[in-house]
Amino acid sequence: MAKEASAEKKKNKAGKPVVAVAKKGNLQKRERYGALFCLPFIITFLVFNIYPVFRTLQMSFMNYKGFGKETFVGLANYVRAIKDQLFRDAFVNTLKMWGVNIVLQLGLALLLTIIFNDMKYRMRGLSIFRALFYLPNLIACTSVAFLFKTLLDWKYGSFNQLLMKLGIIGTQVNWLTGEGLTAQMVVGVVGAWMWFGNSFIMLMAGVQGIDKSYFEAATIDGAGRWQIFGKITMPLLRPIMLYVAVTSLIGGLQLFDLPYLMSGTTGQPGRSLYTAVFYLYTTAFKNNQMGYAAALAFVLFLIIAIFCGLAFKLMNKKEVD
Amino acid sequence: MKNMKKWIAILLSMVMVLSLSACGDKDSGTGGSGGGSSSGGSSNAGGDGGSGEKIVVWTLANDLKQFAERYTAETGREVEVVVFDSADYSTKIMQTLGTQSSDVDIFVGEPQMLPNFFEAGFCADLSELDSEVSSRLVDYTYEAGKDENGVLRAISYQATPGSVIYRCDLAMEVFGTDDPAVIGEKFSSFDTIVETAALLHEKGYSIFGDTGALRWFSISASPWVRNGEIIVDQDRLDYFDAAVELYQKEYVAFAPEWSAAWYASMAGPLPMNAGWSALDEVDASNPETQVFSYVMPSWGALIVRDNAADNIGKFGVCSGVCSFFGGGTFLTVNDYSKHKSEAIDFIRYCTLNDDTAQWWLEVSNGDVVANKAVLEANKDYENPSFNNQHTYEFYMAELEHVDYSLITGYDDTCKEAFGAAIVSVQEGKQTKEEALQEFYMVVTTQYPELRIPDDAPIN
Amino acid sequence: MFTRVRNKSMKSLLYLFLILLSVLCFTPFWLMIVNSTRTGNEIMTSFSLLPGSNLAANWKLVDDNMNLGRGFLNSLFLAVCNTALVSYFSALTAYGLAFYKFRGAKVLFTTLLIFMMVPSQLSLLGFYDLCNKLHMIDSYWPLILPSVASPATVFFLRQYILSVMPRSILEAPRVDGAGELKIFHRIALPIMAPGIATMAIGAFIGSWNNYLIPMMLINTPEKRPLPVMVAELSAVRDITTNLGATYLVVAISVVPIMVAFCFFSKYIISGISAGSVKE
Repeated sequence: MAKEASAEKKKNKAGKPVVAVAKKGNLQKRERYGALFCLPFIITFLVFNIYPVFRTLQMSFMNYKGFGKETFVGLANYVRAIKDQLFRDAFVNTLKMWGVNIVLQLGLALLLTIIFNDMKYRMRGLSIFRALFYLPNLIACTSVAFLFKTLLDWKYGSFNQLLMKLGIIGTQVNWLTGEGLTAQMVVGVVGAWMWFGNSFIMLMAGVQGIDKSYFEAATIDGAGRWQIFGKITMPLLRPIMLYVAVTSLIGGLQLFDLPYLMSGTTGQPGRSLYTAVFYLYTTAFKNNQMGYAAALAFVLFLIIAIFCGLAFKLMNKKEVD
Repeated sequence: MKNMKKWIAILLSMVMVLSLSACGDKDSGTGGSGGGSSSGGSSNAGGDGGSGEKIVVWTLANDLKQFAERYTAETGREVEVVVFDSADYSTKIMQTLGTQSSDVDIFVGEPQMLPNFFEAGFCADLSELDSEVSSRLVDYTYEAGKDENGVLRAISYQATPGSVIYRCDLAMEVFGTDDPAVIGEKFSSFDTIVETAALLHEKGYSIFGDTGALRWFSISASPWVRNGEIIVDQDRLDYFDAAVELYQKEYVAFAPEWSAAWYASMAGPLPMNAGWSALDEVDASNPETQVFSYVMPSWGALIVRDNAADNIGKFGVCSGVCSFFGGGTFLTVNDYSKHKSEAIDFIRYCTLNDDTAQWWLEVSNGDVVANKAVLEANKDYENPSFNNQHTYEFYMAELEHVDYSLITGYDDTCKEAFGAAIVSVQEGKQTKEEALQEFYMVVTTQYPELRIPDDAPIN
Repeated sequence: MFTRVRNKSMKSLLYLFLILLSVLCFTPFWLMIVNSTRTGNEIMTSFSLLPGSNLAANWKLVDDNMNLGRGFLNSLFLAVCNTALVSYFSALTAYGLAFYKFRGAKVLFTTLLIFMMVPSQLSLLGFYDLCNKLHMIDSYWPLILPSVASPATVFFLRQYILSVMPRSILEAPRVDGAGELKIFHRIALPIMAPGIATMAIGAFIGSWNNYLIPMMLINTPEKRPLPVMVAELSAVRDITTNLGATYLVVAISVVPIMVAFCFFSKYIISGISAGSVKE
């Protein structure tokens, strides 16, 4: 009922051309519906997304504390950003954490997708497992960070105690407050734990959208598990894989909450948990250098854009558009 | 297909109902802010009876709610207190007041936030209270409440002097006395701290939870920045060496501030070299350790007390390498407020009223107030939570020595970078020279306007 | 025979792996529930898998310090609106982008991708500025309206529809003279349903947990959504007295998300049958 009503309303809103154009059957005009369908998006997008970004762009050419006077400084902020050793370090840190995170997260999600779609094993309990795997997404990042900080405490954490009890390690490993690389790996793993469930349901949604008859036909033809995966699942999943890869690239390079909270907002040990956005945040809101932070944001944006462009080039080759 | 229809129908009807109610919300909102610039619009939402007299306070903790209740009971004037989490509070203030909003009449700030608030022009002139504040409140709070032109714009009801909070029973055992004066001597310089730590270590005790405790003493003789130069004086180098030595000789318990183990250490011993296997081997030479002391502002002493469990009453307070303060809540009046005189009256009530100060000192169960007369009146109070020590007398003496002129806007960044340098030497990743080089790099990269002086302790 | 045994043991092994992984995911969740029944001091200093006895006291602290019901309703209202808007308009936009070749489609798609890449932390200032100019401070509009334009969801659904819906499906109804919007509602929307449901879960959770923007924009205490109230709760007293209460609120606030999750994920499954409808 309500659906019908709203559809009706929509049509009226769109105006008479809806009916008129359809009757003419003009192909050219029909394609314009695409634009019409995108219109609400475009308007909202222009208002709420573009304006803030241009405001940030404007700030990046200013000497601005976030309050008080703004003075134009030209490209000075960008020049400083390019020379900024700490920003460079922070970016490398981000890459390391993201690298660990993405391999585990996507690897696990893909593995689970394969397991649950295997025609031979026909694993049961998908809905319950999917709900369980999604649980870490539901816990707020603050709680996750608090929990893991306590569990992974160097001298008194339960995790080290467990490992020692099992005889896997002889002395406690300083997970989060010792070696920078170790701490980065830990953050990467915790991130993967948090987010693999999400990637998994995306991939599953993609696979489940695929017509089951493809698989059945292939099985009847005697295709092996890996053949089906390589020849059917993967190619059909490519657009979704591209999405998952690109969004986790974008999200990963903007990694902030987890390292921020797991280092107790300090970025320690040895600044190794400072990520690019963490540094940007500190610059903007702690050091009150809003203009400079805006410039950093755009430098980061450029880098992300380059990475995404590469990802598209790599994965998009076969997408028929 | 059928399912799908039902689902969409539910969803859409929900949207329609809800968007109607959203419109309702909006209407009441615009009704209030009809005057433009959304002024006073939101404050009417609190209650129908809200007259123009009501003032709105934005704060970071529950304290002011209690002040407000008492104030309303005594004067009949209404005060609405809104509590925010501290994480993004400063940004919220900057944003809201940046639009010249009059939705809030009084807001609070911690000392490090104040200079920005002053510079942004958010805080009204409180000069009419200047002479009273300067004569009756603790000196450093008066200094911190003035802008760079010396105009008073923020006032605190609280003072937050630093202290070393130590275990009297362990002091008796190791040093034969728990006299704060004697124990204070043992914490009077970074060298004596290392010696004290060694003595404690022999008995199986750890001087601090972690070497991070020393950072509270990092502003002892000179500010972090003077005339645009980053200062690393001999005191800071001593601090550096002491922190590295305490760590490498394992004189501390490796339980960093705010960690679970740190809280646990207040109530009892910590398993040293923890792990279930260690507990099996009875012959382990140091099966457990006790943390001897904590370095914290006065509110930190209350945290120790509240987590002491069976150890309550066993703690004492003494002075350390230098006197310091940490945190604190300052009240300021929004310069765009429409109720300035009412707001000032409330601030006067919270900060300059002796009865209020005495009341707060009692209900807060140990907060150090900024009102000097009230501190004086309580100086003979024997605090049962602290081994019957005269804690107010002690804190008054500490407050005398707090030197506010050493505080700069660069302190947080410098402390953090210096701490990071110490950690990398503790871990053996860098030499002291390299770590200091990096310290200067980190600070100057974040603040290009700062310089490394010629006599810096690096080549 | 031999292969069947091997298959069977392999299958058990796989189940074992799945169960282990589930335990790993469930434990922290369980700890959160356990912590909501313990005192702050217990939480800070020790670790337990068994519930404590402080639930009543924690609840009292919650009840005294915050209007949980009000926060709940506020959050629910925002989450439902956001989810509905994100789902419907993203699907519409994605469909428009994927199946029509109008001028500017490519540009739009690229722009959308590009704007996903701008670090959001800094747009905050501009966003506040904008809301102020539109006189939307302290109202729900800026928390709801932007959902109409959710680039990441559009991107996902575009990719999704490209992988599950052949263009040829549209031909028959077009010949029958069905309107374009009707085709979208009747044919495209059901096929996209599993994808939409997947995104709806994310949208619901994102809105439910959103803290920073409501915190910045909402001034009236009665209008605060749950996460802002929780932050207030953890600010009002010394952490050791209210940590258990904070966990309690967080645990309670997870319930609607789980309900939403079950609701939507059921739909993801039934999408399998929806897929077969098209034959």
